[in-house]
Amino acid sequence: MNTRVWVAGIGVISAIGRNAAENFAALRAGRTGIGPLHHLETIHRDVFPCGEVNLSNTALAELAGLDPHLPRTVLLSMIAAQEAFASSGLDPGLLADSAFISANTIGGMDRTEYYMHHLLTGTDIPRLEDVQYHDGGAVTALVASALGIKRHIRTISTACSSSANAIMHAARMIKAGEIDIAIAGGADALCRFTLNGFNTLMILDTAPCKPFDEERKGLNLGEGAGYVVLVSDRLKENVKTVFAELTGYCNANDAYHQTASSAEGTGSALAMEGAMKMAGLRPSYIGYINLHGTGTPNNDLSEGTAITRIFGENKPAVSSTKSFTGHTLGACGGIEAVYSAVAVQQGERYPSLRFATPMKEFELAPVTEYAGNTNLRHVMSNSFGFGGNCTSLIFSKAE
Amino acid sequence: MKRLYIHSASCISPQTSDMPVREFTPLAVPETASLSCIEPDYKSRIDPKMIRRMSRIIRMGFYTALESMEEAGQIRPGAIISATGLGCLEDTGLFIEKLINNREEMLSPTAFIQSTHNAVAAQVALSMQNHGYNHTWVQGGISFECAVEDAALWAAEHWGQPVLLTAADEVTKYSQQALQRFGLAGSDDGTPGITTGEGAMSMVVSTAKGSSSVSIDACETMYAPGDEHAVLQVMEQWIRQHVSSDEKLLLLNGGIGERYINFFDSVFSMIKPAENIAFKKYCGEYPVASAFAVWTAWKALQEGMAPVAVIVNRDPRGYCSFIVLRRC
Repeated sequence: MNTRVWVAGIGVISAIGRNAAENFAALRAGRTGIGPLHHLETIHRDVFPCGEVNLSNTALAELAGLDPHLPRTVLLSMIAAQEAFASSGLDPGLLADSAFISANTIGGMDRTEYYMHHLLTGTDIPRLEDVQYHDGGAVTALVASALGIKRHIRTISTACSSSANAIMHAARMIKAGEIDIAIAGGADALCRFTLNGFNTLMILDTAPCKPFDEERKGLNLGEGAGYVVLVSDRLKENVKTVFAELTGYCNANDAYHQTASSAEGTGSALAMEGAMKMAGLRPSYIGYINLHGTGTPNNDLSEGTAITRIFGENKPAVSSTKSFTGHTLGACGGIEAVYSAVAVQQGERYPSLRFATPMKEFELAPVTEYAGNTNLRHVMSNSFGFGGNCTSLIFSKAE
Repeated sequence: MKRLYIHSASCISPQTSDMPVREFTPLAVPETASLSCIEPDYKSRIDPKMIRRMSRIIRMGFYTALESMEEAGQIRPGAIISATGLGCLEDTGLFIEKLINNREEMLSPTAFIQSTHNAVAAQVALSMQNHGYNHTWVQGGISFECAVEDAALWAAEHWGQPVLLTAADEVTKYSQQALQRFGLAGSDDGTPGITTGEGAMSMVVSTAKGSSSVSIDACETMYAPGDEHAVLQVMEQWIRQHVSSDEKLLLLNGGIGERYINFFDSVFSMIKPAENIAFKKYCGEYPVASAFAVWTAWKALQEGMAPVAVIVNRDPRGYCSFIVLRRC
């Protein structure tokens, strides 16, 4: 029970790059990935900008080494999971006893849409291959098989906090002594189901999003995958790089509304406080928060209110990297965990793009410039989702 | 895993829930059909206004959650952990149908909101203002087992605190049609298949025995599609590890029709059960069918059928699980 949990590998694909190096280059240069859609077929193509990974399924399949007819979420997941494990420098022979704890919210929905289209319109014969991997668990199982993991295969689906919860679960399994290595995070591809779903909720911005801005109008959807490799003390010496230590995590529920967050940010405050309590940290020790920061009026008000209440006058630097990637739903906790682990390792903070006017409810302005060489010890990553699911993770400088 | 004591359980299934296990009736329906749940009078526990707003799967899951918490003595769970293989399929299907038929225009949010996998766990938290740990597991035929393992982990981290475990899956016209096309469910043209099913089950568990008389002592899972030999090898290990040869066992096997007949023959010879129930005759095939099996085992042990129950499940996607319950 006494082992600490170390981040020993990172892998990420998003609208700002197909691997970690490309992602960090874009974050440091302030280069957004949000723009017009090129690959998703939808009537909203010219209406809602998104954080789309600018590669066709064929190109993604090539990177993943998988069949291009598989759901896009599988391809994204495989690319980032593979990169994460490779970056750890661990012996692939260890994969058999490792865990793959992944998350997604849409599973194979992009293919199901084709199946249902043919079924309902009669334009073509609905192909069974298209619904075969509809469920979220199938996405994880396919990637686990391709990686060579058989025993510990787990999928979490708690909406937008899913992949933060996957990382938390992997850490709990390591602390309980059940496993020594886990690849944990999540993936989600853009699809018409979610784009239209968020549109019915009227929380999509028709321009690139402006998290925590008084004039914010909503979020931009994105897609991608992000995974960390977590290891126990026993394997810490065997890895190439120790990026950070995962020192705190907490999952709490807002219990307010199925899709909206409470104005006071009850759930998000509980998650942040719980994670700090676990890490044994006072609020003043947190140097940077990678916000959930979707850019919707509701989320940013709720999250900002909770931060103001907890941190008072000594608020840490905050920013929302969703201004680069869009909101990647089941992937965002994983992607932002990768960003947060590297932020604390490198002592750097990534900017929030397009922020201009502070919100009137509180004094909390995101950082708008990249800063390197800062003395960062602890970074918090927030992920909140539908159903009131709120999770915070804390990454600390590896000692 | 840490032993979990079951303090209460509630189930909505194609069976009448107050019937003793020995009187469960195999449902004689054609292979083309799917088994539907016998739904309770929801009004006895849920406000009618809420019932109207909820989809069927949320209603079923929510009702079993309320009943199990009530029977455990109106407990407030420290954690709510749910499982579903396919999520809220009715609303998912409805939203896609409208999206396609209306060409992505004039859609309403209700079906989208209710389609998220964590809708049942969220509904329970919302209705009782529960701010605790809240999780939803989605892993095909071992979704429920993932939830059990998480519950055991959480319960070990929070000694004695109660956990609400809940599992639900539903059959819809689109899911049944797809399964028929896959040749899994039987078809009208005479193609044989398996009877599909659905159900919801909730239970309150903790590491404290209290007045509980049945515990979950082991829960193991694996994923090895197509590799019968590997599955049997692992199964043999699990049996050696978790049950002793002199125990009088009740086996609940997840075989259905001719499917896995050789596999279960091998399991019988390894376990030599005193009693054997092919539980899918009573509930049909669906991702969280093993939750029905756990509920059945919990009842059967209390009814004195055996002191130990072993659940061995297989599903068409290549998942395999092994759960042991004991009277205590």
